[in-house]
Amino acid sequence: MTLPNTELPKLRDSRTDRAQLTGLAVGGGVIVTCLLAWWVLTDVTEIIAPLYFPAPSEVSSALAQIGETLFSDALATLLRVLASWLVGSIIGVVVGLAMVRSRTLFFALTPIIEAVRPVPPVALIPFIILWFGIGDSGKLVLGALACFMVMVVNTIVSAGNVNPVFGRAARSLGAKEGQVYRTVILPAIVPELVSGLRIGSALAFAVIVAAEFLGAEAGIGRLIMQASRTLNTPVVLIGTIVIALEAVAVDRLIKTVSARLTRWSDTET
Amino acid sequence: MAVIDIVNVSKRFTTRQADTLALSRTDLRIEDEEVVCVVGPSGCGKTTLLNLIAGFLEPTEGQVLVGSERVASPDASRAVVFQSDAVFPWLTVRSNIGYGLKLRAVEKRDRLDRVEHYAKLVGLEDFADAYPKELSGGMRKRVDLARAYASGPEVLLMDEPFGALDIFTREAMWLALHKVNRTEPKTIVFVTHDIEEALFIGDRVIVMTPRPARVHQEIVVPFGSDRHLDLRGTAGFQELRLSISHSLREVSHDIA
Repeated sequence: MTLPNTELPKLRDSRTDRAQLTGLAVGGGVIVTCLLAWWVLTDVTEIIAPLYFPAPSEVSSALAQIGETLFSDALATLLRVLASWLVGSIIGVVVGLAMVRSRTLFFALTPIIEAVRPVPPVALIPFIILWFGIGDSGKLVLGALACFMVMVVNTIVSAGNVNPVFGRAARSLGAKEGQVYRTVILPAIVPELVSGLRIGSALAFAVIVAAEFLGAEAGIGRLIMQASRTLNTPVVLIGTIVIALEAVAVDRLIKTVSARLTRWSDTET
Repeated sequence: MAVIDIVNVSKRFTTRQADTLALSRTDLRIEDEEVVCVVGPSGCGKTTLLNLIAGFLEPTEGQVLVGSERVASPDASRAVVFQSDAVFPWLTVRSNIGYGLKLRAVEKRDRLDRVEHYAKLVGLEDFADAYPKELSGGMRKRVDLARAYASGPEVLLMDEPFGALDIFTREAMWLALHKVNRTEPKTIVFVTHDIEEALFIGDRVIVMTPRPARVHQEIVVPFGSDRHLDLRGTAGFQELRLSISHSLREVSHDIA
């Protein structure tokens, strides 16, 4: 997360640099304190029973045991998330733009989208398993569906906010309707799309892991579910930490790439 | 040849609440490479006239001809410079100027040469890689002007293009427009509510009546093509200015 800037824009000076450093120091301090408290409460004083929350020593020995499968599980989840996120988001943007362009399509698809959108994707898991089995395809469809819903709405709303003068200017410079969408509407909404992409990636993690709970050959969700059946809390904790790390890494990646794509924009992402 | 012929054109806007006649049986002919400024009370339908020539609107009655072709939709032969900032913020100055050429798949080397030429013409050669947000309002207007010229139109339609600029920047833009148009004369229709601007820019000034708009008066501007800012201080200029001002007051009184 980035602290939203609610103050009037001001010139970058040594004071804002210092404020940023202070922020980093505070954040780092909190993390160190939490780790320390964890260690003290479990390993040192044993105030918290290992069943409720595993000690650092248990976690590290569990890590050594599952090392190899952990890697393949982490990779399986990450690949599913990235694939479904990418496919779902792209289809979402394309369908969204098509709906903005064609009133018929807009009126035809809106009721379906509005009906499916409020349904938590996780609630669809039983059907997905029935239709696609417990293999990869069902999980990918579910993750893609979640991202699609976010992006299609995001695209329609932000395309509606593009200043019409840009489209008129483009047309008077010779752009045909399709070219207006490709060279004006799409680039103009990139900053708004980025926030949808970030929400979508977080959602994809949630949906994919939940789907893995109910059955998968590999994946962090499978790892956590299997460990929880035997009350193996250290492994459960490792699983959640891996998900968090992967989610943060993907989010950072999106931020870095989008910062390049939206250099022209005033808004910070 | 880009002669604009407006033949008996009316434009009616019909909404559920109201029925507005914006333009009423207007006839106007603009010669090839002529610069015509249209002045009139605000809301009189000047912009409607421009949008009809641009092809953003279709006339309810009559027809608009450019060359000898009837205007039916926007086209690269008629570039528009708007009052609001229409430079694409996601493109650099260079890509903005080259936008129209790229649409027509002009070969890259050729395109960059022409972009360079127009960037230089409006004095932006040092800002080719900048994004619009890094430029001042006046510089963005220069980009807009260069973009319109670079796309190679026959007609340039300007809708109060300098209305949002301060007076010094506006004067600089007048001179920039003069310079560019001397190098490459176009048929220009320039809508404004600033009489001084109309007289300084135009070969001819058209005074419109309030809604529904009709042509009230035409003034041929006798100052030649080589104009200096001090022209505005001369007696001839002030006389014309006063006469247009009276004429505008006359038509405004009709509705008051």
